Order: sequence, then structure tokens, then C-alpha cells
Amino acid sequence: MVRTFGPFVPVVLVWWVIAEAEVFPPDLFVGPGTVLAEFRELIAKGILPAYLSDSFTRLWTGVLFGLLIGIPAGFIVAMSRWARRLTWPLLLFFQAIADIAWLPIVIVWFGFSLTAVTFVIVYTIVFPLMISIVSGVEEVPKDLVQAARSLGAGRFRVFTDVIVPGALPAVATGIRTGLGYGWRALIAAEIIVGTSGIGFMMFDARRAGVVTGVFVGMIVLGILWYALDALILAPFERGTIERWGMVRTAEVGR
Amino acid sequence: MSTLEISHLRMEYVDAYTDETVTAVGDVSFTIEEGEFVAVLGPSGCGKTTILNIVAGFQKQTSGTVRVGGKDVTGPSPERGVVFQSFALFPWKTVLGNVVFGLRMRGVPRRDREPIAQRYLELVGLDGFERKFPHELSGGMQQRLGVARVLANEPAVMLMDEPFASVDAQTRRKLQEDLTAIFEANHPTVFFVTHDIEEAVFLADRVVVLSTRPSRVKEVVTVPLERPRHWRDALESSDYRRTVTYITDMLAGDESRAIPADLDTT
Repeated sequence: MVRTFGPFVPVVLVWWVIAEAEVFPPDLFVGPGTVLAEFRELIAKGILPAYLSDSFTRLWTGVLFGLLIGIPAGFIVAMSRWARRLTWPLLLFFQAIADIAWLPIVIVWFGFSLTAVTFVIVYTIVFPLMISIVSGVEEVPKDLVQAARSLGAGRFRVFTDVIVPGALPAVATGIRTGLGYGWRALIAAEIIVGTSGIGFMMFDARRAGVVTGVFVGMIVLGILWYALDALILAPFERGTIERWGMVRTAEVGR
Repeated sequence: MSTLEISHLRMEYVDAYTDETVTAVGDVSFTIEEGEFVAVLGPSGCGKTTILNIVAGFQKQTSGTVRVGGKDVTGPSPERGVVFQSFALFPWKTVLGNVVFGLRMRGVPRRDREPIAQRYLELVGLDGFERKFPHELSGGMQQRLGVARVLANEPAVMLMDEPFASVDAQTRRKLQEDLTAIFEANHPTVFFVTHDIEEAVFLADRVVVLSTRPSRVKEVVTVPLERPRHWRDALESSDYRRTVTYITDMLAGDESRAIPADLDTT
């Protein structure tokens, strides 16, 4: 508890002091008390839960398709010299087009719909994921592959039993980065495509000139990412690559 | 027919930076009989690991033949299991899982795998550690796992590439004793690459001494030591010391060409 919430105490304190001292005009910069009250009200009215569930539906749809496309595609490009040669320039090219840069054309194609948002999330997840997988496969120690071969494994078994688990640290990093990008893309998409969701809520509050709603949105985003990391990503890594001793724990900051 | 026959093996490669053709292995021929422990000894960079890699099927020789059980080596195979200097254990598999892997690959029925794996873990003294992951073991234990993993596959020949070079000196002595004990109990055929003269003499039935690059076989020395062997006895044995001295002189002769004559006579 202390480790999780401790670091936030001084931040909230500073926030509170700045708000109380009215360094900025109160209608532009609200304090923790106001935000908490608004938070309660939004939950009571059912707006926050509804928007949250909308955002989550979009995120999961996008993430699911992103992983379903990105993981196999990443391994195909990593394993096949030809696929790599053909697609690598494309990968770099498309990765360079920011997710939000796709929004105008996506809205033209799909309208203000779930499909549009999903497209953008899938897009932002697939490329970093593929690139991490390719470098992860390259980093699988050569002697592990040789060991497997000299223990009787054919190419398929080398792939399933050595390459895939060997590349897992990189896949985990890729998923983490991809999810982070996807999460940001979602908020951006909701702000622009916006009919509901956390991003829309923030944008809507801004339009109405109520900064409290914007503050609530920002805090919710932070909490959600933290929860996603603590509840899903971190346990996954603890159960796999950390358990296998494949993570070099940094000496700095121990 | 010998278990392993290497004849007129030659390996050249083109250095990627200088574009020069380097001859790593000059002309190497020797054989290993079934149940024999042969150490291939030579100075660093003499191409001994290259020979092992060719026997393992990881590299293709420029010319010459390598036959195991009368058949030409064409690629990696479980009949030529490799124990690596870097251990090369699968970090995501448990101790048991590492040993079972080869059995699974060879299509040993599921219910037989664990008992077989268990037997070899006992042989190397790792019973009780089945559920651990490799990184939880000491370096010495990891390499014993490396040996168990190969032996469980009952290879025609076990290839060992300086397997004890990355453990500390005390552990190395212990591992060498353990390996002789395993060898004496199980009698696998062993191809053991090392640059350590004492290690080669202590472990092997015969020592193939290679020259500097491009390597040739200088001499094949038969070690006149009884089995079972123990370091205590070996160190006190004049046969052991004489053999070590003999090989030391033979290899020193190689380098003395670079040393001025007046220094060499001391």
C-alpha cells in the first residue's frame, strides 16, 4: 500500500497547496477536494461507469485484434528472410505515420464508429509489436537453437519450444509498448471521433468550460493504466520471464 | 568400425572483415571407439571447437569426412548431443523439462519420459531439483544438467565443448571428478574439447593433441591411468605427471619458435 500510494502523497499535497493558494484562477485549476466531489457525482450519475465501459470495450476490441494480427505477423516476418526483406521498409514507413494522423481518413472511411476507433488502436499496436518480436527473435541465443537441434528438434519444434519462449521478453515489451500506444490512441480517437468514453468526457467538459471534468478524466487515465499494469502485465511477466530468470534486474536503483 | 571417424577434415572460411581465406582446420584425422573418452586438446584458436561444430552438424566442412556409426554427418542429430560451454539450458523449462525435452523430440512415449529423465538426473546428482528452473541452480549444477540432458538421449557420441571453462576452479575439479564417475558408470562415447592439459589427461582415455592453426594432429597420446580415477590419486601418480609433462613439452615446442633460443634453454 505504502509502496503503491506513497509516491502520490506529495504530488496530491503540492496540488492541494497550489489550488488552495489560488496560484491559478480557481475555475482553471481545481483542487483535489473539488475533483473528488465531481468524481463521486459522475459515478453516482452513472456517467463515469458508462463511459469507462465504452472506453474499455473499444480498447479490448482494438487490443484483441492488434495482438491477433501483430503476434503472428511479427513471427512470420522474424522467421522468414523473404518476408522480412519485403516488409521491413513498409513496417518502418507505416510505423512512422502517427496513429492520430490516420484519424481523418479513418473517419471518412468508417464514420464516427467503433470500427474507426478499433482501426486506430489496432494500427498503433501492430507495428511496435511486430518490430519488438523481430528483434526478440534475433536475440534468442544461437546455442539454444543448436542445443534443441542436437537434442532432436526439427525446425517446427525449434520454433515452438525455443524461438517463441525465447522471444517472450521482447513480446512482453512489445505488448506493453503497444498497449501504451493503444491506450493513448484510444483517448485521442475519442476526443476526435467522440460520442462517448473517457476521452470524450474530457473533451466535452472542456467544451462546457468545466475543468473539473478534465481533471477527473486525466486522473482516471492514470489510474487505469496503473491498474492494467499491476493486474495484467506485471503478473504475466512475473509468471514467465522473471520466473525463468530471463530479466536482468538493473543494478542501478536497487 | 569406429563410432566416430574423422578423416582429412579441412575447414576454411572467408574472414568477413579482411576478405582473406582463413584455414581454421588444416588436415585432421582421428577416430573414437565406442565407449571411449577422447579429449581433443589444443591452444586457443586452433580450431578445435570448429571440429566439434562440424561433428555436431552446426557447420559444414570444406573437405574431408566425418562419419558417426558409418554414416556421414549431414546436420544436427540427437545421436550427437552437445554439452555447451555456455550450458545452453532452456531457461523456461524446469530441470526435469530440460531433460524430458530430448526424449519428447525423439518420440519416447509420454509415460516413459519422466522415469528415464529421473534416472539421468540421479546419475548426475540432481534428483530433488526436478521442479527448479536452471537459473536457480549453481553453475556446476547447471552443467551437470547439461550432461544429463544429453545422456538421457543415449547419443552415439556426447560432444563436450570446453564444458567446464565457465565455472570456478574448485567447482571445475569437482565437475571433472563427477564426469569421470558418470563416464565410468555409464560408458558413453565422449568427444571432449579443451585447452587444459591436466583436464584432458585426467578425463580421457586418449588425448588428440592439435597444433596451432591451421590445426593438424600432432600426436594421439594414450593416457596410462586406471579407472576409476580421482584427482587425489592422479596428482600423486607419476604416470599422470609424466603424461602432462609430455604433452606440455609437445605444445611448448609449438610456441618456442617465437621465443629466442637463449631464453628457451632455461
